[in-house]
Formats: sequence, C-alpha cells, structure tokens
Amino acid sequence: MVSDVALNEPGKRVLLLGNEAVARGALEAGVGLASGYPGTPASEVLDTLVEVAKEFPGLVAQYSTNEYVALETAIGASWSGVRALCAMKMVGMNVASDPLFTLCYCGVGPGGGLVIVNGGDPSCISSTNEQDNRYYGLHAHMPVVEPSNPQECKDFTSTAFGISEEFDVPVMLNMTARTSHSLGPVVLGELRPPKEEGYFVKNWGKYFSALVIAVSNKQKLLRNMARLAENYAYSTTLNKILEGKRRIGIVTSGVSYNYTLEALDMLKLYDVPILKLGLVYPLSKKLVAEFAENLEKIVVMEELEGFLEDELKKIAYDEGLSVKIVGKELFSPAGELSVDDALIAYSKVFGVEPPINPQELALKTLGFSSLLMMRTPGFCPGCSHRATLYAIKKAVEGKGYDIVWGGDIGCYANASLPPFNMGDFMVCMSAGVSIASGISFKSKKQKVVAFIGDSTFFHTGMPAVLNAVWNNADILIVVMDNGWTAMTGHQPHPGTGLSASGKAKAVDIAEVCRALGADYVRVVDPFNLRQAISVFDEAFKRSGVRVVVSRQECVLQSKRRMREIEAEKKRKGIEEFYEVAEHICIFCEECLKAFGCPAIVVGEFEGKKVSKIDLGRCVNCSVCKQLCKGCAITHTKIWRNTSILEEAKS
Amino acid sequence: MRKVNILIAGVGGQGVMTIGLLLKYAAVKAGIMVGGTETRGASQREGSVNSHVRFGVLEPGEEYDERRGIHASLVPSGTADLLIGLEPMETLRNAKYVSSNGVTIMNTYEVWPVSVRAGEAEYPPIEKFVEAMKAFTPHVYTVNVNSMADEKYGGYTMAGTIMLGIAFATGRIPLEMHHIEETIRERLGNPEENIDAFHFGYKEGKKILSS
Ligand SMILES: Cc1ncc(C[n+]2csc(CCOP(=O)(O)OP(=O)(O)O)c2C)c(N)n1
Ligand code: SF4
Ligand code: SF4
Repeated sequence: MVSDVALNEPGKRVLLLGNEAVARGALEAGVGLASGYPGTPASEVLDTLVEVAKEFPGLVAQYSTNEYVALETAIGASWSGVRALCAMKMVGMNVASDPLFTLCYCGVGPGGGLVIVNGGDPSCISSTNEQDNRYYGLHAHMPVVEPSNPQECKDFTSTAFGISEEFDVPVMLNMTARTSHSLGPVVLGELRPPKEEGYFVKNWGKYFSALVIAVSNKQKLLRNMARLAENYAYSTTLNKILEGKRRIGIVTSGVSYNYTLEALDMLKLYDVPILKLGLVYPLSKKLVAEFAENLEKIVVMEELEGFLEDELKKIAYDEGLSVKIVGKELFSPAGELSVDDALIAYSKVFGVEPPINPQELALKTLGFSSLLMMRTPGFCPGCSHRATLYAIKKAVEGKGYDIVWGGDIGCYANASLPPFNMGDFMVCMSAGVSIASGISFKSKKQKVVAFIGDSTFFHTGMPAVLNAVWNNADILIVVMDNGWTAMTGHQPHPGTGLSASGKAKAVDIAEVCRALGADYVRVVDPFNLRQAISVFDEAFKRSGVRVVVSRQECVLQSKRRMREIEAEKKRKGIEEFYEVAEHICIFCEECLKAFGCPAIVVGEFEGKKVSKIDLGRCVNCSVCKQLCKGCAITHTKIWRNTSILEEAKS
Repeated sequence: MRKVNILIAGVGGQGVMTIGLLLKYAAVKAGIMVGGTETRGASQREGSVNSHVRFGVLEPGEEYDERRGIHASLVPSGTADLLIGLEPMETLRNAKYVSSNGVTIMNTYEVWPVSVRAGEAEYPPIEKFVEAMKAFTPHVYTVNVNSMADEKYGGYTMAGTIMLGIAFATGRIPLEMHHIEETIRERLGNPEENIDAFHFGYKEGKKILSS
C-alpha cells in the first residue's frame, strides 16, 4: 500500500507492490529528485513518490512532458550533487536514449547517484513491442540491476544509487510487468532524508561532452566499467549462488529465478547449482568461471532475448571454458515465461517426469475455446472519445470519402476496434500525425486523419504538428482532449492545470496549435453532437492542416470529482437519469451498435426487443438521447426530497 | 513448505483485485508467506482480469528453505487449490490453473462481451461451463452471488465479499476468520456491511458445499 511506503518504522514487514518497493528503496537512499513520464508497467514508481512527496521536505517529485525531458531533468539534479531517479516504460527509453548515451560518458555528479527505472513488458500486456532494454546497458556502457521480488526491488534500488556514485555512471534498474506488479512482503529499512539544497559544481572537462573531452570521457567510462566488472561484479551480494552437486547448472535472474526455484521444487530437484544474477550487466568473468568449473552444461533461463546467454558465451570463449551453454533453444524469446515453461524445460534437461503436464492442461482448455469469447477492451460508458468518433462517423457518412485513419497511443487507440474501426495503424507516441503527413504527401486521393491524445500531443506531438504545418501536409488532426493522461492512470499533463505538486498553469492545445502556425483550429464539445458533427463536416471539406480539438473530460475523472456533488444532489433529493421509453423504441440499434455505449443493453418489451439502459452503469452523458432516431430516450430530473424544505423552514 | 494457490477470475470492475488483495493482506496478519499479482493496466476496462494468490505455510518444526519457498507470483498450471470465478466464461478461461483436486466456485452471473451485447453472438448456457469445468476438477459449485447481493443488500456492491465468504467456507484458505474480518475493517469502505456480507457468504457457502 502506498501509505506503507512512507512509514518511518525500520524493521516493519509490510506488503508492497514491486513498483512501490522501488519508490521505498529510493526514499531509503535519500532520493532528492524523481522525474519520469507515465507508462505501464512503470507508472506506480513515480505516482507513489508524487503521493508521498509532501511527507519528505526536500524531495522534488514531478511528471515531465516526456522521457528525454525527464532524464535531462534528473541529470540536472544529479550534477547538482543530489540523488535522482527517473522512471519510464521501456519504449520511453528510446525517447530518452539521446541524452542517455552522452550521460554515460559524462557520468553523475558528486554524491548525485542517478538510477533509471525501466519498465519492461514481455507479452506486450500494454505495449506495442517487447524490446529488451538490457541491451541499452551493453550499448551505452551502463550497469543493469535486476530484482526478482518486492524485497529486492527495494534493496537493489538503494544499492543502485551507491553503484552509480562509486563508478560515476547511471544505473538502470530493469523491471518487468511481473516484477512491477507483484505484491510481496518487504522489511523496511531506515529512511534517509533527501538533500534539500544542491549545488552545481562546474566541471567543464566532464560535462561539456565534445571532441577530445567526449573521447576521454568514454575512456574513463570504459575504465570504470572494467573495474566494476572485475571487482564489484564478483563480490557483490546482488548476485548469489545456491550450491549443488549436479553437473548441470542454471544461470538466471529476475522473475526467471522465481520460476526456476518453483519448478525445481515441483520436480524435487534440490541439488542443482544456481547462479542468480542481480547485476545482469556487466558480468564478472571470474564469477562465471568459478561457477562453471565442475559443470558440463549451463542452462540459462531469461525472458526475451538471449542476453545473458550471449554474455556467458563470450566469457566461456575468452576463458576457454568447455561448458556447454544453452538458453533460447529451451525458452522462447517471445512472450513472458512462467513456472510452466521452467517445468517443461527442466524436466527435459534433467530427465525427470513432471507431476503436472502444463501442455496437456493448455490443450484441454483449447478444447473449450468455442465457449470462450474475446473480451476486447472498450471505452468506458460515457467516454468522450466514443462521442468524438461517433460525431466523425456521422460527419463523413454517405460522402464517399476514402479515408485513412491514423491511430496513436492512449485510450483512444480503441478507435480501431468495432464498432468504429477507425484506426489503420499505430506505431508509437505521436507517430500518427507524422505518418499521416507522409501519406498525405504521396496519396492525394485519400483523406488522411490523425488522432492524437492530449498527453501525447504534449509528449512529442508538437514538433509533428509544426512539421505538418511547415511542409503543408493535407491532414485533419483530431486532438482527443480529455484533460488527463488517462490510459496510464490519469496523471496530469501541461493542459490539466495541475502538476505533481499542485496547481499549475494550464496550457491550451488550441492556442498551441495556432502558435505552431495552424490556420484552421476549432474546439468542439463531443457531448454536443450537432455542433461536433457540423465542425467535422466542415473540416473534412477543407484542405491543408486542420486541427479539431475535441474537448471533454475523461468521465472517470469527472465522476471522481463529481462524487461529492452527486452525494450532495442525492441528499437534496435530486435524481437524474436517462431511460429508454420502451413503447417508443423502434430497436434501430443505433445506440447499441453504431454508438456502442456499454451501459446500453438489449431488453424486452411486450415480446419485442428494445434497447435498455443499465442505470447502474450509465453516467448521464446524454449522447444516446441526442442520437436516438426514434426520440425514445428520455432525460428525467426529479426533485422530491421534502425534508430539505423542512430544513429550509427551520 | 505447504504451498496453497488461489486464483480469482472475472471481468474488470467485479472486485477481482479487491478479493485478491484482501487475502494477501490477511496473510500478513496471519504471519504466513504470501505473494501474487493482479492484472493492471489497459486490460482492466471491460477485459478479463485475474488475481493470483500464493500462500506458503511452514509445517510444524519446519525451517524456511529458499529452495522450497514461494517465489513465483503466478500460480503454476494445475496447482490452484481454489478457483474463485466471478463470471462463468472467465472461470473457464482460467480452468488450466485449477488442480485436479481443487475446488471451483463459479458465479453464474453473466457479464456479456461486446459481441453478445450487440446481438452478434449468444452467451453459451451455464451448463456448458459447468460441464467443461468438470473436465478439470470434480469439485465444481455454482452460485449467483449477484442476485444474493441484490436481494439482501440492494445492488451488486457486496457480491464480491459474499463470494469471499463462500470461498472461505471451502476450508481451502489457510487463514482464520478473524484475519479476514480485521483486514476488511482496515481496508474496505463500509466495513460493517462488508463483514456482514462475508459472514452471510460463509453461511450460504456451508450450505452449498454440503448439498
Ligand atoms: C514513449 C512512450 N511513453 C509512454 C507510453 C505509455 N502510454 C501509453 S498511452 C499514454 C498516454 C496517453 O494519454 P493521452 O494521449 O492523453 O490519451 P488518453 O489515454 O488520455 O486517451 C502513455 C503515456 C508509451 N506508449 N510510449
Ligand atoms: S478512462 Fe477515460 S478516456 Fe479512458 S476509456 Fe475510460 S472514460 Fe475514456
Ligand atoms: S447517457 Fe446514454 S450514452 Fe451516456 S452513459 Fe448513459 S446510456 Fe451511455
């Protein structure tokens, strides 16, 4: 629980989420600045620090507009001698990679350890690819630390700050969705108060990375990494060995270590030597050579690419080890692994019958697949994105346009699913606008639309819009402005009017677009269907860059804010709801299928099918009433609490 | 170490995560080993969700041995002692987790996927799900906790807590009743009604299991 993260009770055992434990580890290391951009599965690291920041004077915790800005902010704090943490999901590392490489050359400030939390996502539970960011360690010469449970998430985070300072290099804490979102007991350590005041000590030869300075910086970095690999990586308690007599050993890390132990327990194999790596880059040659000494074979269990497998093979070649090393021939590089995968692989490797046959069980389930329908994610009842899409659909209906729908990342990506099917591609944040521009330059017969969310707009969308204006693209940009970074847990962005620390200036996207040079910029309210449809109709008829900002708050957030108002309304006896008048409903299915609000279901009236509103799910957005062809949907508002009158009298 | 695995399945918004978290926090009170994970992120809206709960109980006199401990947050296939299904289709979707001697409690309240709501497909009859579940374990029980909650408390809010009570009545959860009661009191809004619903579920559960 978030509130446990701030507890000043060393020795207490609490239950924490992996991400919360990382936040606690940072607090125990005296982190003075935390930055980042939301992204599943990493979001809760920064969300937690933002939430507890008021209890730690001296801790600055802030959301940034995107990941490279977040990392650069953290660099500034580090170079001012303050410990800094920067959290992002793994694709965010691509965005931050520009400052990252040079940061590794320059190193960190004195006493300003810098830890980058990477949220990996094997199985793409909420991502567009499953890139393995351990390779950033290899490529940028950056140590990579990988915890396997919440206790280690906390401990390793603290340790990572120390490594960063000792070896003058940022350290990456490699998490996956499973480590981030697993809950487990954590024994709390001492909190260390953050440094309130930093100071930037000038050091031109270190921080001004160019020409000879850059090369000498790189040489320094390589020396530090070699020292780390030779000494620290050999002796650190981040790594551990479980001894065993067998001639086949296992090298593993992170969640794969967990799966290994559980599978071996199921197979009753308790004498297999295991090298569990917590520091997954760089590896110690000596440690590997000693572990491999009496082994014929090493099995490497790791998720995604064969990163450790390749590193071990390099060492085996250099050290002339005769041990056979296998990994990816047993464990798929695609998708996350599980105890089942470990059980199947180890039963084969050690020739032991497993007590359970996971493949058989999976096959058995497959036999019943006709009973299992897909549950595609959809918009919430009353979501403004749905209304925007419906308005656009109506605006182009019957016009015979050939339209390309450029999708982007966020809740509005669901536009590509039925009933709208308005999403022809999706690549990465803000790619929608630029890919759409590219299409418009070469495909003149098609109308090209690009959807972009508000948080995405501020993240990397502005240069894309500017480029479209500058090069005169022929596109309609629809900004899905719901006021929040909704998909990742409703964090604020520069348009919200809030920052992590409270009230902030609210930047208006429409004004930004005008400032970027767009001549046609309109703001619509998607809950006013007629207005929205007519604006979209006009926007489609024009050419050049057209921007329509469709603005209406994410209903989950407005509902949360309105909770008190709703309770007050209820107390005052005001009741408000939408209903289908069954005798009027002609069951044209417009609300049900074309619009598809999940609060509308099929009902029955006098033996015929009718639409019905599930009052438990309806949030009174009013859109279905506006679109009902038979005028069958009614809005009722009743005042009927007489007690309030009594109150007023007395 | 005796490992006890529990899987809770349902659709986002049904309280899968709440039941999972309650059990885990209660285990901390009981002082047993605990781990697990729940679906978070994009798939929460309208999507299939599950919660994995893993308990480790030391036998009398047993010392903790890392090689025999609870480490994975995911329940291995075929090892769940208890499968708590808050929705029929979601119960079956997670069938591979239940052990051949495990207990399945399936809520018969249907949450329709978009295709069914739009009239493009039909939701299969409940008997099909029961029959399919019986291919995994003979101990399959059905209840409708939504209608139970609606009848007794008005609305579905208490359905999840009633289900927790029924699940507790199976005796497969290695905790004492007071551990759960205390956790409900600390972690849920409206604790008195929730504790009442938990007891109600427990009593109903005893009846269902003995029938
Ligand atoms: C580079 C990068 N960083 C972070 C993410 C995670 N992410 C997915 S959607 C999203 C935000 C979307 O917010 P917004 O554009 O406002 O759309 P909404 O969800 O509110 O509809 C984020 C941050 C990502 N996919 N890529
Ligand atoms: S969270 Fe908000 S933006 Fe996302 S689908 Fe729900 S209502 Fe729409
Ligand atoms: S008013 Fe209509 S469209 Fe809006 S949430 Fe209620 S049922 Fe859905």
